[in-house]
Amino acid sequence: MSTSQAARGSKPPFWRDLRVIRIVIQVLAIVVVAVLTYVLWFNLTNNMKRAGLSTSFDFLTQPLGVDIAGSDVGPGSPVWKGLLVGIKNTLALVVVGVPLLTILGVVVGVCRLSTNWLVAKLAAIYVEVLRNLPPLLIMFFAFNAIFLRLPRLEDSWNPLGLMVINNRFIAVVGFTAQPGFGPFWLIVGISLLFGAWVWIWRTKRSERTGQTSHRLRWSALLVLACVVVAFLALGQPIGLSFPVLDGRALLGGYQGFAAYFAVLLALVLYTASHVAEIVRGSIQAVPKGQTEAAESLALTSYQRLRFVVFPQAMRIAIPPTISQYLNFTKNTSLAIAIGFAEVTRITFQTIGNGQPAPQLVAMLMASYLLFSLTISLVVNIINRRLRYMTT
Amino acid sequence: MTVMTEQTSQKQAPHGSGPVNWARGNLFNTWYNGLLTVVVGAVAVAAATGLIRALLGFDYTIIRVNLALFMVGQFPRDQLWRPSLATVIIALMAGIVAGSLAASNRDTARQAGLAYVRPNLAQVLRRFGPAWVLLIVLLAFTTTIGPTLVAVGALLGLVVGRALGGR
Repeated sequence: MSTSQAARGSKPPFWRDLRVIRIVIQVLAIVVVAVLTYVLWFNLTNNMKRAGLSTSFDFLTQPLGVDIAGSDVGPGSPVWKGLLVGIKNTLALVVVGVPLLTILGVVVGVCRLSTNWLVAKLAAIYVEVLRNLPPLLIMFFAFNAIFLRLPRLEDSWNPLGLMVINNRFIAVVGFTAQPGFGPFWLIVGISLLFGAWVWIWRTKRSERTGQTSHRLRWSALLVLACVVVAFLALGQPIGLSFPVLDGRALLGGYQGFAAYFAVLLALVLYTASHVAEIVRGSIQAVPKGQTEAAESLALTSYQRLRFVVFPQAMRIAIPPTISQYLNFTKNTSLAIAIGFAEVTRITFQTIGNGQPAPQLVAMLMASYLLFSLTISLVVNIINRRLRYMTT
Repeated sequence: MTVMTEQTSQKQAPHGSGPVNWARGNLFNTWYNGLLTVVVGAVAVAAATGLIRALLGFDYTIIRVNLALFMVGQFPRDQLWRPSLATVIIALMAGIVAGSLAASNRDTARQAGLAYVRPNLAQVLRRFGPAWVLLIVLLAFTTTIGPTLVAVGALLGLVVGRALGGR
């Protein structure tokens, strides 16, 4: 219809003109979103004013009112300190859990495709069982059936004097700072930079001359030599502190609470089963011609996997794996059911103590958003470099 | 459901068929595979034994006492014949659907000239293996004859429906 009108040389009426419609719909969308936001915001602040609740963030300096085990935050500490401890605990889970689940997921995913029938079937059983259970149930099981069944504090296991294991915490040997601690780490940093420079030099040399670069052994040996020399020269700036039980207290060493390990175990196992399926799918998505070409080049099965299939498979696997990392981060909020003092639990405890809920929940949402966006950003940088580009 | 491996197919038994040769081809074909089989097999057997021993040792009294609550909630107990009858009728209808699907498959195969193999009883039972395990475990926790009768009635409904739909 518009073509015949255009042929006649006149424009369509404005309610059928595509350019007008586009602009009108966008303006309408903005107006709807703005009105909705204003209505919701007005509703919230109006109701809070009517109920006499404050809309400010002054509560952050109020006393917390509860004790947080494992840190020096007590009932008198300000709220923001308690929230910070919660964020630190959540970060401890995420920073340790994400590498662990990646390794486990890749291993199980590759095992699923093994030629060994037993290994393949066991990997399949692992994936099928753990993928189909709710993570909260796995967490309950890990906490109540595994970590609470460890011996009581009085009868802790003490293998080789290096660890203390009981049902409240697990403690390992820790490191103490002796004189010369600062300069030691300075020298370690400098030697790492040196090692990076050697890496780049050897790579460039290999590109120029075609010889094998041996860059890993050059830079690794260099860094190792520098670190050892610095360690000895500074008179052993790092000391060991052995965990020793003194009555009911622990002296020395690093301890992690049973709830932390339970959450870590449960969520790593759960998320790794998803990552295993992603890895398996991405390995199978590599075109069969690649495998056949690698076979015809007489590469062994391991060389095939490592040099041909895996690099292409990992490119495909990265975007879904990002979602699994985010799932892991958000699932840590389930730890509230076990009593692990991560940020969700501390927020809700603070709300229970009478602090204003809307601001606290908004802060909680903002912190999870921050974690998720950071993880997304970092892994997307890797993704951008590795992703599949069609010329 | 076949598992695709890097190699284009599972190794065929090099010396013929049979369980020993299958094991030679799939579990012990290389030295590291053999080692892996032994180690992983030992761990798996130990884990399975421990799990089964633990599962059998639990005290299941609370499930036995509350099974009716888990299954039908707080439905009035004297009206339970209604959902039971509904289960049998639904099973009958499901059987009819399955039977008519099978009949249409058979007709399509006949028209295309392909052979149509009727699945035998063992194959059908094997396909629904996990469902059988669940049914038997649940029935083991019951205390009256009612649930078993309902289960038998539903199975009969399925079979009769299948026969009816397959004509």
